[in-house]
Amino acid sequence: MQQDKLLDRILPSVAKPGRYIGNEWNIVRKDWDKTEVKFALAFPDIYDIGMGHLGYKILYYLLNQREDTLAERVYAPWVDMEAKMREHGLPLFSLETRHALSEFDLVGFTLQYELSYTNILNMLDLGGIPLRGAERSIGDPFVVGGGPCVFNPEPVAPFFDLFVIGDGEEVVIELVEAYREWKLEGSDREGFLLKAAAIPGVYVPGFYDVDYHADGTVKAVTPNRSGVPDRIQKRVVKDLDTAVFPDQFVVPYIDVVHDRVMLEVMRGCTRGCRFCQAGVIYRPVRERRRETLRKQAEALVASTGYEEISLTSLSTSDYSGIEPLVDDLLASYRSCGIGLSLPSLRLDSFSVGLADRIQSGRKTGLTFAPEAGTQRLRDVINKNVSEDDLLAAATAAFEAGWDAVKLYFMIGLPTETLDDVTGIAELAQKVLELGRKIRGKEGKAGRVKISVSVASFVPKSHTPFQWVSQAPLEELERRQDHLRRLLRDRAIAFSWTYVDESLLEAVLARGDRRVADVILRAWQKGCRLDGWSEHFDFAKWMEAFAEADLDPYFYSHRERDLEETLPWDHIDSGISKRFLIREWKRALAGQVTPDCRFEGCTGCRLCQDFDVRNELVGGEGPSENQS
Amino acid sequence: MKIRARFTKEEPVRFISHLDLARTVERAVRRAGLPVAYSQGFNPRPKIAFGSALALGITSSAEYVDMEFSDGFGINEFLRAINENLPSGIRFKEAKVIPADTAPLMSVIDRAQYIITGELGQDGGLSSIVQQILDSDEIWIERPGKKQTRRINIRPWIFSLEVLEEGAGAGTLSLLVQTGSRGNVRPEEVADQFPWVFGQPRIHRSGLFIAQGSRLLSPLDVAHH
Repeated sequence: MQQDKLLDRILPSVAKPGRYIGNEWNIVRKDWDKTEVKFALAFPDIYDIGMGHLGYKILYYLLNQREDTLAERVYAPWVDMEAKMREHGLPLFSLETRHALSEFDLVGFTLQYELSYTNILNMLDLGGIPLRGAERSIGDPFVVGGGPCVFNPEPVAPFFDLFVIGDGEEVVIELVEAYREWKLEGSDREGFLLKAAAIPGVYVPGFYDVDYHADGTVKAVTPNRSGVPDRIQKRVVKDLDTAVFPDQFVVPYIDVVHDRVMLEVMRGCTRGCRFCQAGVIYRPVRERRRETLRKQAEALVASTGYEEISLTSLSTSDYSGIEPLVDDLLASYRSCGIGLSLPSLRLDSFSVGLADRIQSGRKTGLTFAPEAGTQRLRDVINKNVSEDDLLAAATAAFEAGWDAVKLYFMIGLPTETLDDVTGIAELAQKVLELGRKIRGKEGKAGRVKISVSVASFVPKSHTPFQWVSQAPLEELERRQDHLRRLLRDRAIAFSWTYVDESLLEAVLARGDRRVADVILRAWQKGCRLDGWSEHFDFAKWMEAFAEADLDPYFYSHRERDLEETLPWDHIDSGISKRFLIREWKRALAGQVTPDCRFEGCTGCRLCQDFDVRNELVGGEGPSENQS
Repeated sequence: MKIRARFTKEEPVRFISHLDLARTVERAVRRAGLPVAYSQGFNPRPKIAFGSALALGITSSAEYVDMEFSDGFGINEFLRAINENLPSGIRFKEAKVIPADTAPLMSVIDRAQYIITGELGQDGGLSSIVQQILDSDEIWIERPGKKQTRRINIRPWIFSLEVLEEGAGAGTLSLLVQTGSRGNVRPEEVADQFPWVFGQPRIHRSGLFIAQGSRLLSPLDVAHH
């Protein structure tokens, strides 16, 4: 094939060509001509990042299970590869059968973070697909968006034909079936979109008009077709335990993120941190049974040959059967050199105990996320941990032999003062001194290292903080400087995020449909891979805003009225706006709200309105040990 | 039980690094359910040791690896199990049980043979360049390091260089060089002496050897003694 020859010539001259060769273990290659529905799973970042995404592993497996459907992977090329592809006229291709993106029937993009948006345009362009849904015609694929950012899809709405809101496992199959029906009927593109819009959880942006007030705020988002819903309710997989989960993962050759067996022990989190969008959109909490997880581990270890199993979820130590699960897996796998990891740990000594049990090799580092430096501010954000919790967890970690502790914080949170920022430094210092005291008993005080990582808070849609202004950029920088001055000890490493990137993230996270024009212009100016600091070009973005005649600060630095129609109000996360308002007011009053798993219902309305509930497995008895 | 094996690295796997190849083989061993032995200590590693590393982009029919197992099994069973669990482009061709005290591949392999094929202009003149190289005492190349670029005379390590084929805008060379810790020539350093057109020539490693006097022994032969 011409394309293969071209690739052969290009690949020796690009970095990490293993990103583009496919041919990995467990790859699924089907007969292109004999398969009816061709679905591209496009990830708007490079292979090294995209291969770690669990959602696509599930969809890849699910779609390829169907005889009538093939699913193939497509990733963004790194800049060197893009230059070569453009030079030689090589279109963006799938790794399985090297078909151009434009040759697929459905092209899915997962929207994991806002700074990947220009990559979507770049990939559509490289793949030979018209950028705007309105410009596509009968031979073009339908472009489908999913993932967390679709809870405010408006800034990218013109580039997509449809969005899937919420859990994708069931909808994606319904979409494929609608597509087959439509193909048999032979109607126009709108015919398919109407069918799709009838599927619960599907949002067809072209079927909605957005009107604005003179001040630029949204007046209304209204359907322009009959029979499409006013609000699109997110989809929820009610029973995660029986939901399909792959028994094999594609095993990459090159080093990628999360290159291990991933077990999704549960979905959703009801801790209720008020800054956290994931805690809203993935509700309710649904746990998998231990027996199910053990079978999945067994199948995946055998089919991948991986040397590590990771228990993933938003907060893994909250899994109600975590101790017996960890014991089970350790008993089965430790002896054959397969490690276990828990990536998201709660801040308490119980979690440290768990981490200690699973640690097989050197104790490289433990991460805790107090998020804020004072109790007052932790109450505002509903992060229900105290300083005592942190110090107890740190004590447990140092006593168990850890030398390095990472602490995650945010600055720029609502109501934050300089005292709260000072609190971050004080907390870090306390942990350091604790470490020196405890490790000092073994003569290892000098080894203690604390890293303090401080992100700038970005208000997100569907959270109790969706109305607030981002902190002024100069103020964020002043607070970073303040911390830099306070964190003088050489045993403390301080890292922070660039405020320009946080500003753009804030605009894209709460932007309306007009922001699409800015994204398009920024991409035309050469912006891409914005999530990679070495490629982020703030000046070009500012030019794009100016040319589109939009003020970025209108989106990032404006406090919204609680009555204002928000650009994402027609996307229904199931968490009522009244609940969010109540939570916002409780935040200002410094009142905490408990976790509905353990205490009473907090009235977010999801369970009542969506007929779902938290599913905990906690009551499971001890499992029969097979060995 | 210790096994030494020869395997190939072909398309498209030639585009992965030595480290990636090692990880891929380790995972295949695990999938195959072969009882690989682990090192002691903090971070147990499977006892798998490769021969001379192959640069990214080069194909090979002569890669060697030693593996240690906690249990015994037949060679044919080994070859079948490992090959069933490897992606296409990596194939184990032969293997034998070796004594536990056999010297590691890395310490004994000192010769590498390559086939270099590329496209040439009208008057490629492969033969005359080959003659020039063989007639000279010095071929200086620059080898970029982490801190500084070193100038190295690779001529003493070129043992044989011949034209296998030339004509019709293409040519093929055969090259035998020193490899390992006592001196090393990268095949592209020799290939770069020729005026290839359309970019890089294709390089294939056709043999790794252990020099004994004037004889070249295969790593599989040497393990016998």
